[in-house]
Amino acid sequence: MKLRKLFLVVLSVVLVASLFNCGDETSAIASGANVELTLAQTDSWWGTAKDPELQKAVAKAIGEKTNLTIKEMVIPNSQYKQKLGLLFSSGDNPDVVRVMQAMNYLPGFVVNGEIIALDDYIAKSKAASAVDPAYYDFLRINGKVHYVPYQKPAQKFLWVRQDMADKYKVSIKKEMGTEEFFNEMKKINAAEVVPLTFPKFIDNLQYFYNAFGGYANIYEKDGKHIDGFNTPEVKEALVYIKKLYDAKILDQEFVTNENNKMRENLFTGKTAAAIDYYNRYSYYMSNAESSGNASEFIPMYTLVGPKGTKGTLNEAIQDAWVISASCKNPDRAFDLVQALAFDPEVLTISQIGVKDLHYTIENGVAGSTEKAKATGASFNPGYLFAANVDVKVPFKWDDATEKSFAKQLAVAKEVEAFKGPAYAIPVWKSDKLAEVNLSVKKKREEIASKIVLGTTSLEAGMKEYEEYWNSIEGPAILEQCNSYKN
Amino acid sequence: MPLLPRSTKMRETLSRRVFVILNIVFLIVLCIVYIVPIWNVVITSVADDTDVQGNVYLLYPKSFTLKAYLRILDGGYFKAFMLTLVTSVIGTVLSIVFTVAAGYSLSQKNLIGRRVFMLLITITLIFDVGIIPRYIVVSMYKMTNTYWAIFIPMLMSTFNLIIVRNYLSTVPESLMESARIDGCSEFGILLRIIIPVAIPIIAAVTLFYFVLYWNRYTEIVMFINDQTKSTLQVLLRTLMFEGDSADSRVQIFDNFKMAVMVMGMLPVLVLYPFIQRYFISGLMLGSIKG
Amino acid sequence: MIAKRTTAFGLKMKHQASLLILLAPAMIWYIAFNFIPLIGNLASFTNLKSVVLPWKIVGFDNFIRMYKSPDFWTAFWNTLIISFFYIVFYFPMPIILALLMNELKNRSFKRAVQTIVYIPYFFSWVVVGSIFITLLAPNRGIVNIIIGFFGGPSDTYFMASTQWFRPVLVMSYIWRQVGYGTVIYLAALSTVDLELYDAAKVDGAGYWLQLIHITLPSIRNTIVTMLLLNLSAVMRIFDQILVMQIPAVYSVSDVLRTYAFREGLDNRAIGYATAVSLLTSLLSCLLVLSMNKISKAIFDESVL
Repeated sequence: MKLRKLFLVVLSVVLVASLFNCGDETSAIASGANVELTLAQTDSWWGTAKDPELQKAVAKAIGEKTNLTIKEMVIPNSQYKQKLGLLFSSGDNPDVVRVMQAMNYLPGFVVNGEIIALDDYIAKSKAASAVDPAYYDFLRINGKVHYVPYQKPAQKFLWVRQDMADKYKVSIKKEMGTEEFFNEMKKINAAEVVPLTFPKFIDNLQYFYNAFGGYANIYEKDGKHIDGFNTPEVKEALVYIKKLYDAKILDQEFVTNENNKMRENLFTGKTAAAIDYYNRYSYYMSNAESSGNASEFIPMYTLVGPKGTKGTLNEAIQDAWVISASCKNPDRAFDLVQALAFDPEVLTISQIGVKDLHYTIENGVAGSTEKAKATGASFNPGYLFAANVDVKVPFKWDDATEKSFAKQLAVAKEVEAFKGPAYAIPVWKSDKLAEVNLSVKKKREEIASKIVLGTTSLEAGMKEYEEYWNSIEGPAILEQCNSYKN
Repeated sequence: MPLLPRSTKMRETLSRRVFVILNIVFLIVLCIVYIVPIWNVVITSVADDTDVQGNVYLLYPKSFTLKAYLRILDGGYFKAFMLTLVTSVIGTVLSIVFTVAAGYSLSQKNLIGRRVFMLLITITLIFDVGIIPRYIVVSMYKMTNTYWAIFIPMLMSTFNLIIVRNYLSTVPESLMESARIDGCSEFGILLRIIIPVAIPIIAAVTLFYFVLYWNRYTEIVMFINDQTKSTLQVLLRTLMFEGDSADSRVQIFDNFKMAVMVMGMLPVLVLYPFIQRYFISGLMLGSIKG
Repeated sequence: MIAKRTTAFGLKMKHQASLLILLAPAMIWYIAFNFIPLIGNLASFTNLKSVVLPWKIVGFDNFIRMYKSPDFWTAFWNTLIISFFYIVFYFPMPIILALLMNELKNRSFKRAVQTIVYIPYFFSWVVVGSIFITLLAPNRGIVNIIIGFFGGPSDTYFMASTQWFRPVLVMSYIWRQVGYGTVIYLAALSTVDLELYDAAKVDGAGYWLQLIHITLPSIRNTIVTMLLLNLSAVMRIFDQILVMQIPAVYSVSDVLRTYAFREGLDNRAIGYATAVSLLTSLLSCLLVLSMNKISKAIFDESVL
């Protein structure tokens, strides 16, 4: 009898609660007024600390700055793409969204009509129209711009430890010939340190492809769309990378290398050089120092191939702010986007945190609070200054950061001269391509890594790729892209 | 439950003795295969930063510090821990009640429509509900971003239901018949006869459910937007893998990673021996024979 | 049937009603969270991208696309091969281990073994993945060091090798799951009547005879159930592959679930992804039914 009662009580509680526990639905529509907007961003963004209360404080502070009520969606980095897919697929579209890897994922939203064109807003906004027009042209789809770039285009190149270069008498220059680079790196004793590494993402091979003039994707060359992977240039580059791998210059385990481990190996001196972002200098300097392996880090921007082709690994527009088509108040949403991308104060709040909660200022010098530090807050200006506006913070960094930061800005300026190619993948030009884009990207990664690791030969690998390319009607895809008219 | 009860004074044959020794040796080797990585996790978690940098694999402790653990405790651990504990306990209790009740009902051969019910349940085993339809119904019931989303959508596990049902169907019919004749209701039978007999399987399934709730990650990430309603595993995984993203700004050393792992499983590990008692011993045998 | 019950019709009705009440909460949950979402499978016949975007019925187009797609066939064969490996190599492990542990006389040793093999189950697959990457690393990993010690080549890159990756998957699956599996068998073994063994010993039956005539028949029911559960579980293996696979081994590791996941959430082709899932379900249905036939023939016991 008791049990029956328990069941009934439990059951009714559960059902009633689930039916009546309505979420706070909002439908406030007003212009200029304080409205509620949902904002989706990865968890590393909200003031960088992972403590839920600190993250809420950041959302609140941004809301106060912009006279909005921010309903935050804090999504773990590793699940971000999937969660966005889930939200958009099931109709719970957030109002303002950061799209990661915009060159791969933004066109999909545009084709589906899920995000709005921002040309008019950008034209009216002083800050947004001050941005280099090339950043907008990069992903201009059907003549329209659907995003505001969050940061300067991300570039990657080789960071080399000065102490290792000195120890093995390796001379590193800003740009090096492929053979010269091979011979210099060969001097490093691979049994002691790994000469060269990069994280497991095969996209990093583009750094080497650039030296040979290859671009492993579909892009427009001389007015025609081509598949850049199956070209003599990329094949030549793969032969070169394999040569590095076989000579043990390239990390034998690069395909399982996580970003975190790769960076750790570089600043602790287990690795002599690694491919990483242009704004990593102060990060490496401070971590090398605190781990007791201090060294200067020198940039090697590009390899130069036999035909003189070169360029950094250019990831172009990585992060873009977009506004969902279902947003009830796009005007105010754009105000928010503007603040997120261009307002120095909002940038500081999102990247450094809220004063007194995330950091405190003593004698004009700022430092993280214990709580913020414990949940992974970083006090690093690198990302703040990747923004498209100059950010002046109302405090000083500690001495080491201030010093390394001057150099970092110099590097950021210098790298512009070596910028490698970057092309948006034209999925909006071909529905066939939209269907297979991710699969074919995966296939390229598979073939490239198999060739470098030696599990398959160059010829066999490329033959496998060609068969694959034909089976997904590759030529028809290129045909569609070529005949695309706005 | 030894095969050779002490009462029987049988002479152990030579082959039997060899088997016993080989068995023990094998299990010890197996334990070593298991312990080495686990041991590495534990000693890495208490090592200094400098001892875990680079590709090192610690086999013996080089240093001892609880720094990593203290950092986790500073980082909102208790709040997430309490939330996870409360939802896991409520969830487990509900799951067990639902599962045992349904399992008992389905184990009764004279239940009307038993085959249909079993067919429906087997369908859920074979036809998988994808994350998108599941999200849509959770959203439809207005459960997204509420505490309910932490345990209601994943309340039942067909796996556990079938295990319980099958175990209960081995309970001799005569036990229940005699109780029915004595005028005992079905609920009374379940409570007084079935549950005592089924303690080993209930213990095992309780453990399964609790671990399931405790380790739940993907569903929480998908159903919850508000970090304050997130569970421990979400917080811990965030802390553990934040170094792995391309734009990460903090370095996570292995000692911290491993400490996170230990902190994530410690509560369940503490609970484990208490539950283990019930499914490892043959103590319940007496009651089956009534 | 006892006369008392058949005569008292009311009692029988009450009995049925009580059983149905006991079943109701679970069934309501199943309807709300399992059968209603299953309606979503109808999306297989549409070009759905989002429930708020316009869509249309496309008939069997998604299935035709599947038939033409080389990635689908890779995933299809991998699913079958990997499932087969899991059933053949993983499925007997918990049974063997439970039987071996059952032979231990020392209670605390038994418990210690049981606890130790259960611990990895608390590790998420991401963690298990990183543990195996370290253990199996070329040159520096323990496994390669041991191989090198016995004179073998110590630079095998197991995680990136197309020959080795599937064995690695199975091994890591066994390592993480076997403790979990043994719990159920130990619970089942605890119900075996000890008197049966005593009687067998009086008859002079040795260990193997006891095993074949008493132990295994007593837990046959559990074994067959676990076979069914494992069959449906291996068709759903997903997290493990998703976190352990790297580009170099895509061609031997991509399964239907990872393929559907990618098409659904990354590529946003929900209609197509649902079609792939539906086919996966049908495939596992087929497997279960054929296993049912085999089980009936061998054990004289139905899986379902």
